[in-house]
Amino acid sequence: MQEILDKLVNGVISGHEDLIGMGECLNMLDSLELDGSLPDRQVQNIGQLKKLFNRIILEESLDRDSDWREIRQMMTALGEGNCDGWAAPSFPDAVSEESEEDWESMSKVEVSGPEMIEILDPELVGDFLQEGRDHLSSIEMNLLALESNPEDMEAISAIFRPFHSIKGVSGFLNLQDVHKLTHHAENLLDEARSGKLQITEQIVDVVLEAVDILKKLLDDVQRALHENVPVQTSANIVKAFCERLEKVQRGESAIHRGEIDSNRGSDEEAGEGSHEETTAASFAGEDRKLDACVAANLGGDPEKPRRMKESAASVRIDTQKLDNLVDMVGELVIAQSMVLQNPELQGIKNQKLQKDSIQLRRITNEMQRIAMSMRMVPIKSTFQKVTRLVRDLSRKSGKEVFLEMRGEETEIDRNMVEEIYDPLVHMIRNSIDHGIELPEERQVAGKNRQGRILIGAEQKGGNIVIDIKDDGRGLDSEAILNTAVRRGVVAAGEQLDEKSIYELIFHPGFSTREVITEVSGRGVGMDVVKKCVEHLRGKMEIFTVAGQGTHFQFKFPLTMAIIDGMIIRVGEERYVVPTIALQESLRPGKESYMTVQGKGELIKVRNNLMPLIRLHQIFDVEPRCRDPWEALLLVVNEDGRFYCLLADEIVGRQEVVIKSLGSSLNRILGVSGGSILGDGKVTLILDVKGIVTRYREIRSGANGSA
Amino acid sequence: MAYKDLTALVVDDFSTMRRIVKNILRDLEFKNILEAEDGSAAVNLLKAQKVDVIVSDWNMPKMTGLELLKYVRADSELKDTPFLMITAESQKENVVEAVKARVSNYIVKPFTAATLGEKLAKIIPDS
Repeated sequence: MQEILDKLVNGVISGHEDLIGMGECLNMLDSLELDGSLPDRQVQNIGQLKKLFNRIILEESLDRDSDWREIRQMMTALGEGNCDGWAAPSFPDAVSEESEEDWESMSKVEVSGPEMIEILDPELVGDFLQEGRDHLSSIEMNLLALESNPEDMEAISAIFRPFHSIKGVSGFLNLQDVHKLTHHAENLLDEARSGKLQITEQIVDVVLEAVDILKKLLDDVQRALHENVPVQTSANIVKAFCERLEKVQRGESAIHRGEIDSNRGSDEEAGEGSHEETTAASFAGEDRKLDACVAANLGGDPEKPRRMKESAASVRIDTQKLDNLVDMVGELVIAQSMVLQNPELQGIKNQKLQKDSIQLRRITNEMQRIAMSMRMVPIKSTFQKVTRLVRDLSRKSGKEVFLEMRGEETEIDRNMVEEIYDPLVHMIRNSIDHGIELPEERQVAGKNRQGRILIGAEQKGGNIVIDIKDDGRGLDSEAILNTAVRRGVVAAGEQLDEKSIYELIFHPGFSTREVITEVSGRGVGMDVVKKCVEHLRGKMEIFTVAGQGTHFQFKFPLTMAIIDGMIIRVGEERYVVPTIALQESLRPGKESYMTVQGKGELIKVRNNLMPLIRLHQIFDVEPRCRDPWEALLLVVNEDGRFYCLLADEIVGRQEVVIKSLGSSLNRILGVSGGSILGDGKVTLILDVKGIVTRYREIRSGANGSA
Repeated sequence: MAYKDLTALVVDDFSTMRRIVKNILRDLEFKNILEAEDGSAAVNLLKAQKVDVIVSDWNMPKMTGLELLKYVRADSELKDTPFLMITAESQKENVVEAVKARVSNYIVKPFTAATLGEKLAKIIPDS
């Protein structure tokens, strides 16, 4: 012990700048304290000495030199065993932190208007937004994990850390709202981390809300960044919310307002208007349409976070560049086949040329594959967002739902990831609202009280297949048909098979629920799903067993840039029909063709009567064959009904790169884009929906004039 | 001080933060700046490469800044490497712990370029 004392006194510290020296002193003081052979008074003084050191280390000392002198004095006295006559060191309350001064002076200089978001370093802010959003989704995931296991310290840390990081960077970038909110959230979590605060459902709620507000704030920053317009800060919203966080932290019962149902009716704090908005905003993430007003209030059009996972060996690339690359590679493939299919070149009988051209083709194909794969991202992030939705919805509706996910690692074109989210949300809403029964109901039916929803993704051929299954009550075809007739969606007495009836639920404005619920009755129906699916050139199938559940299956092409198409010929023209739209192709017998008064030309295919659509009429070209039994029919399904498209012949099947027709031509009915075929000729890609619409227009025009 | 001949290692799990620190270091004329996304990545790097100064965040997954500091101080080759710990004002009390583990100095977020420069000047021996 004397040894340590000697060391202390003889000075291992060079001055109050020497942190390492002070650290060693502190370690020595600790061991002296633990020694136990010192008289009490000495121990007390060691405590004082430690406090002094801490004050200097933490830069909280008002007069370092005098503190330093005091330390030296005390240490000398300690060495001599003489502790009398020490003046107790003074610890003033007022502490000014160097860093806080910095921070304040920074804000003073750099904020020009008090209410506008200021972007200091656009590039950094851009990075921050992306990274911040990634962190927010990981917070959400961990929060949900924490909710099911409130003791999970690992999860608390995993939530705390990203808040902390976001706070740190936002402080730098002078994003004060973000900084303030994360600071408060971090404080709350710190309490939880140290065990002072117990994790309850309400705490999870309030932190989730913080995440939602943060998302909005980031959206605001994004707008300020990209649109070059001044964007107001949300200081008052943040302030109100932070006060609430503090209350929650102090364990006051202001928390009940976090509950969704009570916040709207509660007017106990009517004075704090922003307060209410804040809570309402928490659900904007799930329903953008409804909460558009709230979004406007917060000054942000909510945009879904882009997600690109960064690993050690990766670079972030502007998606525009990536899209350009994919486009150019598409062009390269086309240019290559134009060259190779040139008749003069094909006339050359040279083995080396043949070998080399095969090699070239191989390389370009591989290149195309790689370019495409660069745009692919796992569907995981989209699925994860659903987890949150299921939690909120099941709570709101009083149903117990277990969500299972499969195939989250399945990759999908990043341009499609966001588009898939909306239909997915609607399907999940639908499943919870209409499919899954209340726990009591389920029990009576002999099922587990907890309903199950499974979402899965897998890649099959050139498609990605997304399944949404629930074990709820299933679709009631009779009820659907009755409603459809009542709403005038179909004519009474119309013969429809089961599948077509199920598909009626995707008809605009259709809802079998008499009572419009808050969950899915928001004026936007399942037709949104259908529109999205069509837009993505996908397909949808429904399987259902009454009482056992419903299974929706979506098939989307892996990418929006290429489609698998049938090339057909009508007269001199060639067209591409997306293979996904085709049911079958056939040449009917003469007896299958008939004309019915008021219905036009029909073809009977296995006892189904299908309207005949003459493509040559739609596109006004001169066909080679006018009689269906000499030509070829393509059976397509549109809106649950079958139609036959009349063409001359099928030329082949090929993957084609889709090209936009440009803004002036993009509203042409029946055509969705253009493509360049191997011989360099341009063809049009047909849009079945548009063709059917055009056909109906022509028919009604003909009927009207007749 | 010839910072340009020195190799700095920036350790933080938040890449934006690493960039901020890197930018400041660059302005201070550091030419060789390495990055690691947490303590364990930093350890791997330190095994392979000589580093003259470490600027590390405290709060990181897998291996925290404090653990990294303890590792560095316990390693006979690395023990004298100047180590600057970045911490947040809400966790300033932790600093004492870092000081006991013989951190060279620390800096509190948010900090300015000037503060970081000063702190570095304090911990990097004149050459």
